[in-house]
Amino acid sequence: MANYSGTVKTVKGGYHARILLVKVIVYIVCILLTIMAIAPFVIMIFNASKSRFEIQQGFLEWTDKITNKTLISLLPSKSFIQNGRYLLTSDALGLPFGRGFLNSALIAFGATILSVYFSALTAYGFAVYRFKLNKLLYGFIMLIQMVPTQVTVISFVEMMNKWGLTNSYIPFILPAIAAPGTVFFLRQYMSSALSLEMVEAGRIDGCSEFGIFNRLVLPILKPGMATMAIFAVVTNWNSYLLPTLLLDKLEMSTVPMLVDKLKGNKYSVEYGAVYWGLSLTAAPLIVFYLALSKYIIAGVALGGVKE
Amino acid sequence: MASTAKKRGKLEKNHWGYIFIAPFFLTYLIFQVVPLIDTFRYALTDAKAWYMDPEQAYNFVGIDQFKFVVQDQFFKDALWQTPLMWIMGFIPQLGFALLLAAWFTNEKIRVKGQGFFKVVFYMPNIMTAATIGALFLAFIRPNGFIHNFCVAIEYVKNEKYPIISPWFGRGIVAFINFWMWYGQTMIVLIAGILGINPSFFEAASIDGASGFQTFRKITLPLIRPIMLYSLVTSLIGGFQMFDVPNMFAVGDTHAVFGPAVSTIVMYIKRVAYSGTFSVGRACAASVILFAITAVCSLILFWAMRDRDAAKAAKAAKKRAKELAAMEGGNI
Repeated sequence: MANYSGTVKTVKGGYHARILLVKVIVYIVCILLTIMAIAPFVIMIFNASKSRFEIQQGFLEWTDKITNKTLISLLPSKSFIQNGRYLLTSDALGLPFGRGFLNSALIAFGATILSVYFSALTAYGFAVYRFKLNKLLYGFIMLIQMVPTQVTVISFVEMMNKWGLTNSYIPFILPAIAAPGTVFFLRQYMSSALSLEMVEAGRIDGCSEFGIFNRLVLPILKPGMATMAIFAVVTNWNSYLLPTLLLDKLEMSTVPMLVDKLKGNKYSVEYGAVYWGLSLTAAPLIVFYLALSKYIIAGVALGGVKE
Repeated sequence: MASTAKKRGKLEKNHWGYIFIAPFFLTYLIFQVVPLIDTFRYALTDAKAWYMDPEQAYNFVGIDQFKFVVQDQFFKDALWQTPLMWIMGFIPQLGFALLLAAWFTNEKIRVKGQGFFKVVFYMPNIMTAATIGALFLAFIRPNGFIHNFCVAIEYVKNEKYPIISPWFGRGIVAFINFWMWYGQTMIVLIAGILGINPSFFEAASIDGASGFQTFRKITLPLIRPIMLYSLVTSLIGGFQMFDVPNMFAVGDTHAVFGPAVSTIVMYIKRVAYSGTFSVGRACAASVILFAITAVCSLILFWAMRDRDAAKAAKAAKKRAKELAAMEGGNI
C-alpha cells in the first residue's frame, strides 16, 4: 500500500489534496447521518418535558420577526413530572406501563431462553451425530428461514383461540423452541468452536449424551449463544402484530401494544404525555443497546456473512 | 477388533441425533406447519374468525375467496403500495450502505471514529418499530414538529398543511425503513468486504487501478452473494411490512394518510378481525403473499446469480458432453 501511494504521489501532484477533499466529504456525510440518527430521539426526550401548549408552539428557538412569536424551542422544559403523571395515573390515560414492561420482559426472556437452549440442542444434534436424514433435515432448516412468518399469522391465531390460549403468553414463548435462524448460526459457530474429540472424551468418562451437551458443550457455546440471545430479546420485546391479535386485556398488554394506545384518539391532545410514553418505551432499549453495542455490532457482522 | 467395536459404539450413538433435533421439529410442526396447511385450507372456505363462529361451520367455496380478494380495491392498493414503499426505502438503504462500506474499508481515507459511527447508524434498527412509527406520527401531524417547521419557514400559511398527502405518507414510511436499516446493511457489507482476500486489492493497486475501479471490478463482484442475501431478506421483510405503516393506519382519529400507506399484512389483519371477520379471505390474501414472496425471491436469485460461475458451469458441462460423445465415438 505504501508503495502505491508513493508512486502516485510522483505521478499526480494533486493526490493528497484529493484524498483530503474525499475525507472532508466523508466526515460531513457521517456527521449529517449521525444527526439524522440521533435527532428524533433528542426531540422526543425534550418534548416529553414540555407542556401541551409549549409543544404546540414549536421546536427550535426561532422567533418570527413579524409576529414576535416563539415558533420553535429546543430547550427542555418543566412539565416532565406532570406529563409522566398524566400518562401513568390519570383517568384519561393511565396506561399500565409498569405491567407492560413486566409482560414484555416475561415474553422476551422466556422466548429467548427457550430459543437459545433448544437451538443449541438442535445444532449440536446436526453437528455431532451422523444420522441418515442429517443433511436433508438441515437443508430443510435452511429453506424454512426464507418462509415469511406473517403468512401463517391468521391461522396461528385461530389455532390458539381454539385451544383457549387467548390472553395467554404461551403462544409467544413456546413456539420460540423452533428458531431456524438461530440453529443455523449456532451450527456454523460449532464448526469452529467445538471439537469432536472432546465429545469422545466425555463419552469415555462415562457421561450421558445429554450430560455431555449440558456440562461440556454449553459452556463452550456461551459466546455464540449470547449473541443470538441479544437479538432474540430485542425481536421478542419489539413484537407487535401477534400480541395485538391474541391479547385484549389492558393489564396483559406488552410495551408495543401500549405504544399503539398512545396514538389513539382521546390521549392524542396531550402531546407531552405521548412523547413521555414513547421515551419510556425507548429508554430501556437505548440503555440495553449502548451497554451491549460492541457485541451487537459484531453479531450483525457475523450474522450477515452466512456463506 | 477394537476399531470395529468403537465404530459400532458410534453407530449406536448416532440415533441420539434424532432425539436432539426432535423438540425443534415437533415445535415447528405444531406451530408453523399446521398453521401453514390451515392457511391453504381456510383460503378455500368461507371460514369466519373463531370467536364469531366457534362451531366452525364453514363451507368449501373453491377459489371464490381468491376472486374476491383480487378484485378488492383495498387489496389492489396494498399490493402495489407495499413493494413500492419497500423499494423506495431499499434503494437509498443499499446506496448509503455501499457508499459508507466503501469509505470505511478504504485504506487511503482511514475514517476515524468508525466504531462510533457504526453504533450510531445501527441504533434505530434496535428500537421498537411501533415506537418509531408513533414518534414520526407525532412529528408530522398538525402542530407536530414538521408542521411547525413549515410554519416557521412560511411554507404553510394559516391552517393549511399541504404536505399531508398520500405520497408524503408513503415517502415517510419508506424513509423510516431506510433510516432503520441502512446501518444494518452497512455493517453486513463491511464484514463482507473485510472478508475479501487482501491480495486481490494488492494486485489491483500494483496494476494501477483507481479506487473506484477497484471497487467496481473487485469489491462489488465479490460481495455480490452478501448483497443478494441482504436484498432477499429485505424483500421478504418488506412484503411483510406492518408495524410502522400500521401506526399511520386507517380507523383512528389520526388516519393521517388514510389507506395510502396500507400494506398486505394490514389488509390481512383487517379482513380477518374486523368487518366480516372473514378468515377465509385473509388466508387467501396470505397465500397470495406467500406466492409473491416466493416468486420474487426466486427471480432475485436467478437475476443476481453469479453469471461467470454459471457460464463456467455450462461450459464445463458442454465439454464433458463433448468428451463423452468423443469417447463414445472412439469406442
